[in-house]
Amino acid sequence: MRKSLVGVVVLLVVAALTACSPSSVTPTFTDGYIKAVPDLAAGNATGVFGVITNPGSSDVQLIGAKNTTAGLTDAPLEIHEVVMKDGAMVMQEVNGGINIPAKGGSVTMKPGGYHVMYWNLKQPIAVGSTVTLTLEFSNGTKVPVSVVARDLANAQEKYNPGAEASHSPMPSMSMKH
Amino acid sequence: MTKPQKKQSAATSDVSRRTFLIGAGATTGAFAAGASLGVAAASTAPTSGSLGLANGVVGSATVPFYGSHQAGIETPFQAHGTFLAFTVPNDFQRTAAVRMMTLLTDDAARLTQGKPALGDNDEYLAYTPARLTVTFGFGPGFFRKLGLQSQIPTGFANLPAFSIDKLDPAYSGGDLVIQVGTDDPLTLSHAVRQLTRTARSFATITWSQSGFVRAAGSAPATETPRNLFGQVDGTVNPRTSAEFETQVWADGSPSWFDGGTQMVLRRIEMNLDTWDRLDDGGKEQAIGRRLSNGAPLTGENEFDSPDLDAKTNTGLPVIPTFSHVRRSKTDNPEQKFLRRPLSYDEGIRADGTSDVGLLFAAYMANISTQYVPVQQRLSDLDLLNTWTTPVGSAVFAMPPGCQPGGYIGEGLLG
Amino acid sequence: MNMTVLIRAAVSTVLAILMTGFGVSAASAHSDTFSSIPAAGSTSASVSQIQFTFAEQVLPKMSPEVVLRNDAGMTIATSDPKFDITNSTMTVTVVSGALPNGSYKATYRVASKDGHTATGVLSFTVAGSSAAAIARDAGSPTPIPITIPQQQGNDVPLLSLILSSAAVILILAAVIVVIARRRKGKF
Repeated sequence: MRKSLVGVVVLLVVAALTACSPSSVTPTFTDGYIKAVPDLAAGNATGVFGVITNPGSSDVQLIGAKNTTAGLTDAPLEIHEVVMKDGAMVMQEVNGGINIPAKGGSVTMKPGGYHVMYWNLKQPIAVGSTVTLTLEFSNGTKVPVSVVARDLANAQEKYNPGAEASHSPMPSMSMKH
Repeated sequence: MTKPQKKQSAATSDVSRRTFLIGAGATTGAFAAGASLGVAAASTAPTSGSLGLANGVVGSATVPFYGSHQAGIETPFQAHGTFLAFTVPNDFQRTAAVRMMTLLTDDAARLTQGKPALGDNDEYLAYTPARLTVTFGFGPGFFRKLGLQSQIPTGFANLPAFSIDKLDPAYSGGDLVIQVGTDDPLTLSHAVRQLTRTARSFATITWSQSGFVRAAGSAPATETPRNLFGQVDGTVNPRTSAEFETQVWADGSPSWFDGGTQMVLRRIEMNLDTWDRLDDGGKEQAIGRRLSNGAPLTGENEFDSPDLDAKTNTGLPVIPTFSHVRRSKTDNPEQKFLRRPLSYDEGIRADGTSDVGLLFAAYMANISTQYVPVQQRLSDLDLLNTWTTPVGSAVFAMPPGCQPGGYIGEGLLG
Repeated sequence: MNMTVLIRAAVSTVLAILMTGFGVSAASAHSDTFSSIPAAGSTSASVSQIQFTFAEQVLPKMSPEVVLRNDAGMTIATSDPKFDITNSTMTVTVVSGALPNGSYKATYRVASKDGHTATGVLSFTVAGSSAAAIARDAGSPTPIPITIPQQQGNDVPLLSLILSSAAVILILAAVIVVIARRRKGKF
């Protein structure tokens, strides 16, 4: 009788543990870079790009990010996607974060697509300098990353005024250098 | 080195191993790509079909980027190439130089392996590297502007003026050079654009010079290419690793430069419209070699040593006193160096003449002792000068290679 | 058929072979265009320098070459060529002074102004000279000629001289046979 009780308790504990943390495998981040902003007069927002890979057995989502570069910005970072609206490409926050498929699946954040958004920069970002931030995932893992600033000349994306915002919206969010 | 006949498969790695073992220490050396085969092997070379050209083997071939030497020097000739020169600001700071070389190195490391650069403007043009190499060098101004004159390699300096020079500033000088080579012209265009976009945050473009050798697979890799005179050009060259060690790679002095080399780049305009008025005999007299196979006039085969003492039955030297091969030949081992030229063809001018010539790129451990005496001899006397005019001249110190995590020039700037 | 005509035809054929065959290409035909002092084929008593005047300008910087030899095949030392202001006249002096009696060949090779290599041979004779014979060791020994296949635009190599001589002999032999047969009334 006691043995079966112990067995049931063990089973319950194991079930509880596995239910609470389905996967604590940390995703990896490679080939990261941030669009340089050498002159704040040209704009004070930018994006971080790179490749996220999920070696875990379950899907995981990139749900947030925190800037760790002192003095770069006070505004929270956002996870963004770029979608087609009324014939124009506009960017907006991703509901539920970016899903990274399990078992080695990867998602590439690149201009015209997913990115981590920096708002209200307080300092310029010189080409070749380094910015640090921490990526936060739905399974509780946090990945500190370091990205190099590159000179990009990619498509302009418009900020979608319809999406919820906790900061001043920029009517035309130019990503062009 | 394995022979080309064995390479029936289209596997990329086979092509890479065959020809591009840089720093492997093989006695025959990467540049020779099987020099033991010699010209005689041409008749047994496989057809393009058995090389698997239809399978894209040319496009997928890569040359390793990291190593003790930069690639693109000992690498066998590529079909296309561009030299880009940049000018850095007068108040260029070391921190900016480090950033610039870090980014450029990262671009080069990715692109040469068939991967897009970070923030690449067109990733689809990055997937056929076709033996892409990217090689960096610093001009005399680079050292001066950074206050690094004490680190200038021994013998590295701008060339003295030669009487044959008619130099155009549009093709001369430069603080930084990026040498790009590949078998695929699309790849070349894309790599040049990407590297330029990275560099332009730090420097302004001085000039750009592009050229070609011959299409990949159009001749056996061991066959010495021709220039637009029709001349077999490049017979006398280091081929073994030992020769590269002696002639090309610097041995310290200063220590950051160990494993680097000094490059001379001269744009040589060729007057084909007057050259064509010569018959073959006249051309051979000027060169001192046969047009058919590059053999010296005193020999039968390309690699026969020219006999400068041989006389005709009337007592004239067989190889004329004014001929190019006599004037450039040297038994002084100090005056040997690598010549890795490209031809250029900018098309037909409005007056109907051809704007063509040679991008004469030469690499050596010490410009002053190895190159200048030879160029002086040729400037003083060489019948070939009748049809050539140097219109551009530049020198660059090419740093040694680096390892992953490092950058080209770290020994100088770090 | 007239015998004289036959002989003339044979001689012309021989001369044509010697002039145009075996390596004297059309483009270097202009190299034969020179006048000289002493004149080609002439006999003089006193020769201490040789002067060539070319139809084209020469590039004096491109190491013009002159080799002077006597009939024993010895090379006689000559000075570096000097040019007049038009660069069309080239002069070399005999280092030892006046040439002794004998027949001589002066071979030259120059680069013309347009880069063509021009080469040719000047033959002349010295008679009535009081100069002492040049000792064997005063000049260079005769070098062994190099066989040069496919040589173009140069002085006629030895092999072609032998072949053309053989052709001459064969043609003369043929002429003699024809003449003999005619005499025997076989035509």
